[in-house]
Amino acid sequence: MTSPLLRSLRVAFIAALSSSLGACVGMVEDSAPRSRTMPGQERLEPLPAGLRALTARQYAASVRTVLDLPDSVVVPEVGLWASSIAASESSARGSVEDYARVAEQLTEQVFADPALRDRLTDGCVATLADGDPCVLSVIARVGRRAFRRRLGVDELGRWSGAAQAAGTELSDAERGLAFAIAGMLQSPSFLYRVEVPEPAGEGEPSMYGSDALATRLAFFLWDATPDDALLDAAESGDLLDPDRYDAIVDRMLADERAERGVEAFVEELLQSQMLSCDGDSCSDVLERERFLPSFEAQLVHTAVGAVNEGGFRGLLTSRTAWLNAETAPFYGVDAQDLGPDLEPVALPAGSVRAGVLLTPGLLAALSSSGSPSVARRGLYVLRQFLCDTIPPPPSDVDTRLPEGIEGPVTTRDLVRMHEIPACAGCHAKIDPIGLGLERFGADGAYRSEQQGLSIDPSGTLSGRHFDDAVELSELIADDDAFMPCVTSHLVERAVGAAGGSRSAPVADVADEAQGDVRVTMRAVTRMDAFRFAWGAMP
Amino acid sequence: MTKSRGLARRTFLRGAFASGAAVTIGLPLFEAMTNAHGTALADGETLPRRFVLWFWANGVQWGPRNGGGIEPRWAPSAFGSGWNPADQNGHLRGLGDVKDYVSLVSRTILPINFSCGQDWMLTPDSGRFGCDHDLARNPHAEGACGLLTGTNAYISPSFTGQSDDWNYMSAGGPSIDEVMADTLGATRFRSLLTAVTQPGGVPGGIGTLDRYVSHSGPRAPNELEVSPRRLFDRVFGGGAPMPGAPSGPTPEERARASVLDVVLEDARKLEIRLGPADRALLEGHMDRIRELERQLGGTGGGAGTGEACETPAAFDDAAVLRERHQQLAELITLAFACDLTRVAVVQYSSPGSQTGYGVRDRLTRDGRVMTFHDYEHIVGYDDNTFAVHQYLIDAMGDFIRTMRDTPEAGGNILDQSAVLGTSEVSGGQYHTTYDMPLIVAGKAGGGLTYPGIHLDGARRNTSEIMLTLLSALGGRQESWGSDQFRVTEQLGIRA
Repeated sequence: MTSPLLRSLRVAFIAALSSSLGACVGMVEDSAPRSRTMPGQERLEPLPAGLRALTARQYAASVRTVLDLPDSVVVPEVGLWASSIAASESSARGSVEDYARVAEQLTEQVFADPALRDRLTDGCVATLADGDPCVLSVIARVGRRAFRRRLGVDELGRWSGAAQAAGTELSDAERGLAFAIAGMLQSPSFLYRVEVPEPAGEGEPSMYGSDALATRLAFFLWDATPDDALLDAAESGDLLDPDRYDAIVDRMLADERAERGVEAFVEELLQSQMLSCDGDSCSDVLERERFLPSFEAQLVHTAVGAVNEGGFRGLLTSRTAWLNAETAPFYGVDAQDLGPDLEPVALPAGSVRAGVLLTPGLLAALSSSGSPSVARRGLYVLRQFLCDTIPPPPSDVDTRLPEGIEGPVTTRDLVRMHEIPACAGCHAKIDPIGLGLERFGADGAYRSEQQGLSIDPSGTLSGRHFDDAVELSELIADDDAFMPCVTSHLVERAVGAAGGSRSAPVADVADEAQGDVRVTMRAVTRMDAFRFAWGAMP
Repeated sequence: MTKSRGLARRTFLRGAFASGAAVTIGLPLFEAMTNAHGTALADGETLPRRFVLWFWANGVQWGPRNGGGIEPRWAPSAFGSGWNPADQNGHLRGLGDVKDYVSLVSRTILPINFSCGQDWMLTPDSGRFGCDHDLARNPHAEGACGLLTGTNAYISPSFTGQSDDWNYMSAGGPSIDEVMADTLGATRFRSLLTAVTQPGGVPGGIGTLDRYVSHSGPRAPNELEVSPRRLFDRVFGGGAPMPGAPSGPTPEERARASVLDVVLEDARKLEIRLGPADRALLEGHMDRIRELERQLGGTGGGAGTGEACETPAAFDDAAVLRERHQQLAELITLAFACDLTRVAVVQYSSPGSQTGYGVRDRLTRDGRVMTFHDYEHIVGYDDNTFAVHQYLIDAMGDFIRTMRDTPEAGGNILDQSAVLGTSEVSGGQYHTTYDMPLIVAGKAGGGLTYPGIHLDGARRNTSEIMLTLLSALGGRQESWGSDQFRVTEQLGIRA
């Protein structure tokens, strides 16, 4: 669909901007699409504008910002969604009771602690009087943080009224104010990112307004809600000025919170939640055996370190791993100097591991039933790093490898015995990758033999030979599809929709940024897909 | 007449209470207030009806079939009321002492896309179940969705045809527990949704069907409570309300309600700015807020006799799964007795679950340690899989027995209830959805056959069980399901 839409893109942007921005005609040229989206090319598909539920992490970070809580206060992560794409497509209604409970508990905790309370209220004391200035000012300030925009006069009245009504019921103005703040944290204006662009004609793209842009920027770059300074910038109109917009993005990227944005990105890219198996999320004894408690953190720390140091390519090639006493043995590193905390360790020359693909947790997660899985590992690499979609196997094919073979065999032998002509096309891509990782067992540990036979980890990827898993990782990172693919994951996170790894705008960003994560993030904030939406508005 | 005080404190106590006996909030004898049949209150008000969905993963035991191959082996050989729980090596032995309350429906068909093209998909009138929605094929996700919601799975726009399709599927509509909640009348809690094992699946994925059997609508899974202790705090934290007891909201509850009114007002203003899809999504969310508000409308007001209604003493979560399940069973039954809710879900394990329940901790084959799902899938059916399948039915028996042993109006809670025990596939090895386990317990207030029977489902659509149960519990729905899941007929377990 929408190729007419794409053709009309530039015209429509200008039309939309002219109609919505009126006097700001001077910025039209600058704000017009910068990238080369052309008719007929695979489109980059932003979701129609609207609601996006907060991920569990974003919820916790946002509550912290709204209530101005110090790190010492624990904020539970509430919500069923861990990935921003999943949250974009889903309702938050399944957790309504948990949202209520957490909001009430935390506001109660804040109001019971004079220091926290004064931080939030600026030291004023609420009364039950009509139009109490303290209630009005707190509702206005906290409400703006909660809803990511200035409250309208009617909203201010409603929520101040709620504080007064609750305070009257409880004969306690302070508690009434706390109840109202807890209520704002249950409002859809808080629990969903409301990203509604300025109105435009049917089928025409339209630009997000200041508030929506601030929200998109903060959740993309910080994985958190906008802070007061960003909301100020939105209110002043700075975000609609291209130069000031870029300067704000640069400031946000320089802020330490950008590290959270990078972390959230690598977590979604690597699907690191596959590795989480702490007491509460893992009920099976076998699963517990497969995953050490620090596997997930080891992967995420290593990935963040690698991408900061060496960009997207570094993800697969970095020779620095974050290790602690529990994970060091997997790397042949002396655990004696290490404690429970992860720290960066330069790997010795000739290490059998490099980058994220060869972290023990990921390799354990990409196993099944006590064996490394050639298919799961191959498919993971193809999908996450090369954006190559492999269809499911035909339903009439028995996908199980042969069992009960006489004498010792390696997985490579079994895969060869299992060859089915109809499946050869896909497996020619899947198997070399999976077999290249065969020297890592289902527990993530290195092994050179299987049933007494030497494991051959060599193979070819896109026609190029590799000797072992470290070389395989390098070939993946050098593959033409790699940079656009990883870039597209970042774009997906930003716009809330999947796809687009082969689109021209993504290719442009990948070319421009060359895998530098912050440069890529900056480029994404300038993409049309980030700043504009389409889809019929009511 | 003496009756056993069903909700045995001994079982709660077994679950390691901190201290003290249960606090009982007065137990007037309500029998005098019921009519001769014990089905209605004397003033003509019908006793509340209840529904429980009791779900487990990965189906039932299979065994050799005459003429080669294997077939599901869960249903006893005899049909009618003479079915024997000792049949099939005692697969259903756990239902033995509640047998009169139990009906079985075997040989039905759940027509999911995954199974399209299978011979058994031919219907009795030799047509084929429709298979028009052939985008993805995952038996666990599609099975849970087709069986429990009567819809084809919603597939995320992010799905581009890759093999891990379950990561991209969610429900296409509300599940049976949600429809039952709409049907059975408003109570303080719309439903109590629980899980015994931690929901599996891919955390953070778009797919929801491998984690949650309960959905309130498309793309809207419901969170499940895995901690009996937290369930206790939520439901009984403020004390158990006696049906009919005069009560009103506390000042805190009135304060909360006034705040939630403003939340709803926020939503109404926001809706105006949204497109139809987001509007529907938000409307669903607001339904939940309204329900939360209803819970604040006073602690009493339930129907029923309340004779077994009491507040249990605080306790800690049991470590052993089956004991934790028993804690959930007793809390849910108590909530029924107090008419705090009329609908419950017990997800013993999530669709396609890997858990082995600690029954066979180390399933091994060729020196490889396997999870239960993989073991059943790869190894098939042997003593190990049988032990797990039997364990699950035993646990379901615990739940049914707990309801039966709780008195109400001269009978017991199960007399007014229907429990549906089922799974998302009939067998894990071939992921088949023919001969789905459909186990129904309870009299449904006279709506279901008693004593229970084993009915030959004769290749009829599993959706018919949902329409039958809705009707038995007083629903007026004339059909259930959409597309190939749509049915208008009921099964012969209806009284």
